[in-house]
Amino acid sequence: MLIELYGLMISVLILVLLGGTFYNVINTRYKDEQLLHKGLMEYFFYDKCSSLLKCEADKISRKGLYEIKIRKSSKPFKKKGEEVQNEVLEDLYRKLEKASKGTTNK
Amino acid sequence: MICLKNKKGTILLIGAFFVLIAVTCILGINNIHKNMDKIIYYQNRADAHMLSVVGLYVEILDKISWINKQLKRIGLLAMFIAFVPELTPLLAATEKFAHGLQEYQDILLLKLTTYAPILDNKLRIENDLKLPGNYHSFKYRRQPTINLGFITIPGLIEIHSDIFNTACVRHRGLIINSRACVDNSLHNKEKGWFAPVEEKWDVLMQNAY
Repeated sequence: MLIELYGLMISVLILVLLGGTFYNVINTRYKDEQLLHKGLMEYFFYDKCSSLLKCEADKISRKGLYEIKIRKSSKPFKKKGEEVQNEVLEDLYRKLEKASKGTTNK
Repeated sequence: MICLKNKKGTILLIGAFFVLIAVTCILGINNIHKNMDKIIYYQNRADAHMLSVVGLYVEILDKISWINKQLKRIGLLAMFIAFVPELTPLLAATEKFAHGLQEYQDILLLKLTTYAPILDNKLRIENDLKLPGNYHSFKYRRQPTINLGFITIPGLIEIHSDIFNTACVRHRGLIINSRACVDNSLHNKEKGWFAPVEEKWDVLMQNAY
């Protein structure tokens, strides 16, 4: 009885430890991928390269991870979707403000 | 004796059940992370591909616009030179410079029309993106040459507004849809043809990530 229980406990422990290690490996990789994505955007949009990444004109890579082939443009880009949305909203607010002033003046 | 055996079996059964739950939970969490990892892995390569190809458009269109601007300036400069007799020998050099710029512009246009689809496919292969290719359609025309009598100045390059729809790279059909297109803040997109003279080309990127 005791032997079976010990066996069960050891197998549970092994499984949990293995699962935990596996989780750790995947989680590290997931964080690396996120870092690479952020780095990629920064490299193209702000011409910055994080110290954790290796940026070249034809590739960007993270140590221990795969490398992505790119073609770096000579100038960094300025616009991103959200920034454009903000610009549009600001423009709209400006127009509304102008219109409201116009109506009060009348 | 039977009671003891039954008790032992029940404990083992409960233990096995908990082991099963623990393993399922761990594998489930790992599976979620693995799939998220796969999504970002794909997203990274897709975004890199999009930005690289659209970046090529932006870079070349900027240069084309810059040459258009210089050709305009040369026209004005030539008129000024023509009215100053001491400077008239410079007219031939100015004309040659303008034609040199025109040739450079032609090379840039050739590079854009031929290299953009090649770069697109090259990066798809290198980054292992198994998706159908994009349709690269770039419509442009040159305005008629201006003959001022004492000098001929090449016309400016006009680009069709279609470029805002066609110079786009998309990645669809997956969880995250990405899209990057060329953009020019100075241009009214309702116009048909336009001759850009400002280096105001940029990338407009939209994705759900």
